[in-house]
Amino acid sequence: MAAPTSRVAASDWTALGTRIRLLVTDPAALPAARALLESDLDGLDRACSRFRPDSELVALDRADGRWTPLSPLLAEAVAVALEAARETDGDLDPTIGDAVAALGYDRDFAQVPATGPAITVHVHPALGWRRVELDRSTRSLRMPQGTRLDLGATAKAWAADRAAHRITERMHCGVLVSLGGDIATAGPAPEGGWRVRVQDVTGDPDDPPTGPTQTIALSSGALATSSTTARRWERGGAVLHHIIDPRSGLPAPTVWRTVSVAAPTCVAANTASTAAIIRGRSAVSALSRDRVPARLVGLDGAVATTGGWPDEEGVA
Amino acid sequence: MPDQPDQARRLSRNRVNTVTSAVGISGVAGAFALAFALPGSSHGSSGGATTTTNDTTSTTNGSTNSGSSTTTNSNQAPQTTNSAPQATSGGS
Repeated sequence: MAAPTSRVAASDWTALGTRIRLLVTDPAALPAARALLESDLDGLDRACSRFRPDSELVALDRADGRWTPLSPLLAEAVAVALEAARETDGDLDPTIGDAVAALGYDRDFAQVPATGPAITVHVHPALGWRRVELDRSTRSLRMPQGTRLDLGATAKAWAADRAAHRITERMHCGVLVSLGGDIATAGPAPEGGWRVRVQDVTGDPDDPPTGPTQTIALSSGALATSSTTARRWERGGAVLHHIIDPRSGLPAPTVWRTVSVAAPTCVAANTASTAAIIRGRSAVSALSRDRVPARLVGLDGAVATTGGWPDEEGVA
Repeated sequence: MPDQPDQARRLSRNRVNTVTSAVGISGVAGAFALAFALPGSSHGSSGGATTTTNDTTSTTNGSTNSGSSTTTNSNQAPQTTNSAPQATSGGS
């Protein structure tokens, strides 16, 4: 159902080391909606950040294999990450924290040097999500000593879903929450749907895009794009990126520049898009078989779509 | 918890098969129509920006009005527009 008014209010800011964009169909609701989202993101950062020494997630590094009580927020974020691991048969795995840090992504990305000397890394599988025990009845967690979690593959998407629904419930309007391009919508969309340009790197809608792009209208659900062209850095001339194959502990081979997926929730979309990056060429057949609306851009810019993804009329 | 990979894959398929029933998505013509301005980039800005736009503003810049689109197996009617994007998704 379209929103009764076509006016959309927008707010942009930076948080969690990424670009935040909030759109609402009721301009009067924007200040309160932004306050709610900012509060949500602050809570997420305190619970789930790998980079804040005072975060709850970092404190887990000192658990030494013991059962540790979790806050409701971190417990839910871990549960979502484990569920994504289960659903992808381990293509997404939250136990890659050590691997991604060893590759140099051990601080807020803005502070990661773009280039640097060669590094020595040990190629080995992540410890594995099956060894992480989450007891939801007692809201406690136990994992093998030395395990470091990275919830980056799911936490932002989950936060976008959560915030979008909380905002629409309180403000009674349509809402789009974009956390670094992980997009969740809730409530009535504006007439014509939420217009989202899919491109290689999340940016400002006013900026001219580079590379193959497409603008789609999202009338419900969510959209996520995983990219090997964002959050890249070089060590010893080797290009690294942030999407880690848990079976090697190394960046996934760059078969795709970007994979975008539309799904009912942002967690589902981001789980599928990130898994597709890791799966490489086999992702196309899997997404087609499962009728998942997806757009995959190869290194040469060639675009493949699956699951009824809209035609490319909007491509320039 | 599924211990066998096959079981996990079945769960995954069951889950993604629900995807197309609850998401509305359609193509948009005139991807680069920029006749009205959404707020400028706030990269590096703690304050951010706020604005209001009007979706009904017509646009030019080579966009077309035909913009035929296909939809997924969605329960939403196909929609086309020639307006500028409101957000971008490109990974981060």
